[in-house]
Amino acid sequence: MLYRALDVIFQHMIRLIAVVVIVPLAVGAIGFAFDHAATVEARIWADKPLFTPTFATDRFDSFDSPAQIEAGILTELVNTSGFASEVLTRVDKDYPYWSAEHQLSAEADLQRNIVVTTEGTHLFTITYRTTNPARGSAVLTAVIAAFGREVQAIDTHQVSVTQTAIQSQLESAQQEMNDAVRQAQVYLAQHKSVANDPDYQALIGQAQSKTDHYLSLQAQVDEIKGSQTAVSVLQSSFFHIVDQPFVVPFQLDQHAPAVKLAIYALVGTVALVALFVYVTCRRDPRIRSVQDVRRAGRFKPLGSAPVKAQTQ
Amino acid sequence: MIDGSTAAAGLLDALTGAIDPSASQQLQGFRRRPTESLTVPPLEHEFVERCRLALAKLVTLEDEGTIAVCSARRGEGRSTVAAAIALALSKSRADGRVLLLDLDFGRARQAELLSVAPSPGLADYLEGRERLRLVAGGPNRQLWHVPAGTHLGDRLRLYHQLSSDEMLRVFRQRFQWVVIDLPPVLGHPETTPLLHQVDWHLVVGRHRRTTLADLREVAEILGEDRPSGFLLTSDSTRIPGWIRRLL
Repeated sequence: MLYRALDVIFQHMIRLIAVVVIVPLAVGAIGFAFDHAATVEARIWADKPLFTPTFATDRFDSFDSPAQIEAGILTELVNTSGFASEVLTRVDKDYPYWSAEHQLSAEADLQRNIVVTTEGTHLFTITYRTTNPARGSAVLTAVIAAFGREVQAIDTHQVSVTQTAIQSQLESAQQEMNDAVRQAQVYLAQHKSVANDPDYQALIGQAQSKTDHYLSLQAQVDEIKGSQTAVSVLQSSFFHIVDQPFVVPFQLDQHAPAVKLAIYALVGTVALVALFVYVTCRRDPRIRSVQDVRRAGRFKPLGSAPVKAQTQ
Repeated sequence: MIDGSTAAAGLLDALTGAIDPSASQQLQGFRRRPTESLTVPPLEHEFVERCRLALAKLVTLEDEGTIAVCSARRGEGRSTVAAAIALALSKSRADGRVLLLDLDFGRARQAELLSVAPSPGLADYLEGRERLRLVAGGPNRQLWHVPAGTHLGDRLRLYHQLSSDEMLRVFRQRFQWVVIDLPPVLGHPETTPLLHQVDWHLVVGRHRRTTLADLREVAEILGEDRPSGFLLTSDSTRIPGWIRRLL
């Protein structure tokens, strides 16, 4: 079987190579001829602030670079319907009045054509492919603005919720602390000698514990208050735009649709060639090797003789 | 047409006369002819060598016998292989004579390969028009050839006469090796009896032309009573040699 397959391959070698080369090239050329889309790109500089309060997005806890962190968050956000809607609303004022189907199509187009890639530790780029470069620039501007606002909103909301939760715990802890201190004071007033009184010592210990708990919660509340202030202030230090959205001069890389088409065509052609070889070597009834003769029955394979039998 | 009862005896005399003219001058009806020589077929050394190796696998250590070279259909290299086999035998395995017998009366090729006149030949002899003509040549003049000749009657009668009178046995009495170039097996059922009178069958098939179905049919016709081997000709595979060695 292997010998037959190799014989088929080497028999049609030049034609197969020609097909494998020409078809993807032709498909790529056609794709290139019909591709009128341009790429709009913006470059963003991401940084890790010196002071990093605990935020919901947990940006700087991992070992990823700032560019990777920001690019990751942006990629996640772009794939959400809410974020895409917000961006499209900023770009097209009439977006809320579009039909649901049209809106979904626009969102899908946005999510499909936006690519976020990192170019280093700090630099990441956002690219958007569109046939309308002016609109593309507007889309990227809207994406960057919505990104900053969305992250800030998430952090602010999370800090606010945390603060509310901790505040209620703090009030409860304060009440418990006051109660424990009051109980100790009442016990002291009712007993003259409490120096070695175990009950009094227990009440003192309990009051101390409640006080510690209260103080720790108080410290958390103070930290959260600091974070709440920092959210809006620090946001500008997380990232800033290095290059405003601009139309990228044409370049042929693996992201270009024509190249993708050519690659798909190459894979398809190789698959078809493999199928051709398989079918030919399985279905072709002609003898391609001496070993095939064993399938014919009782003949003893005696070898093969070359093509050229007679001298000139 | 030669009478069947005396055909074998007549052939033996004719062979004797043709092989050894001095001894046969007393034989009735024999006339001397100018000495005629065949030319060694212009075959590539590698081709002959491959045929010699194939022959060695088929006949192993035997040092005499009759080999029928046949194929399923025309154009598969049968005549060239038959000539190469005869040449290889005359060079390396024959103490006596090697006869290359062309029985493809329809489209005989051996005369052309050996650069001799195609007629008169066996058909002319069997139909009673001419005496038996043998041509010798090759290494030590050990390679002999009987051209097919020109038949005027029905070919079937020729094959019938050859098989029913066991003329192959007579040829074997005078030659150490007899190599028979038969017409294609498929479409020529008249040759089937002859196939059962030989010692070995060497079936020739052409690379990327002969089909397995044809080969199975040939196998059924040949039967299992004689050793049969298969030689692939015109092996035009482009698989590099080092890959073939790995496989």
